[in-house]
Amino acid sequence: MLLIKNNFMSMFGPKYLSHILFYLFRGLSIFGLLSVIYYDVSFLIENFRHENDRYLIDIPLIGTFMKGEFQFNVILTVSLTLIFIIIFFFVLSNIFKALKEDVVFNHKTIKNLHYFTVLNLGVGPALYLLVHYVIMQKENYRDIHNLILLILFGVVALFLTTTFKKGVHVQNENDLTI
Amino acid sequence: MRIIVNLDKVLADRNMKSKELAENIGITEANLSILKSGKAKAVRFSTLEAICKELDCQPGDILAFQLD
Repeated sequence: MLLIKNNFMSMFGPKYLSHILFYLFRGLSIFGLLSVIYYDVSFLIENFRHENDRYLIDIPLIGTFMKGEFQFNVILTVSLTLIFIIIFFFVLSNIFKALKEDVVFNHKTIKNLHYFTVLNLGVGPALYLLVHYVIMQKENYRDIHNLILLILFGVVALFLTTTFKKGVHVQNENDLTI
Repeated sequence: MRIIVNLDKVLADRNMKSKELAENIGITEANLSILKSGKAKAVRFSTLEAICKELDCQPGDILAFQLD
């Protein structure tokens, strides 16, 4: 029973999960980067169809397409949102990369959690306000759930940063206990 | 106020090298060096016991309290 439990832990233990989540989020950030490059380059080289004030960009291999209103503010909003998503997943992947290390309570984890907090409590809400009120000039609160979600992520990351800071302190003391 | 580690002095009195002590009490030379340099945050009773046993001394011979 213990052997089964140990095998299970080695296969699906915290380090294994960190590895999987690192590759998953890094993959998503690379996919996002390729998407935003393809999206913006398509407009630059006019690789899109124009139908009823809407653009259609064919996605190769998948056989589907991206579509939206053919307006500068819409294209800018999509590009900025995609760039934010790329950075979001990149920082998230860096957190799990730091968690893969032998000593979980390390300065890299704290640094990346701090970036994640700033991203969700600072950059995210600022981008939301910029896109919502300045670029798209909306007066409703339809997408407010995205902002609430970002703030929730940020608050959780803030608590985790504080916890990890205390963890590093305890780890340092433990390392210097002979 | 600080705790002074007089391990070097006791080792010299016993004519013993740090490497030998580290091997005999089962800690690494690096950890013994941390202890000797005064960078250690704490000393386990088990480590202190092993050092005292090996060097045939009292904890007070190794550790001392000093006012700044």
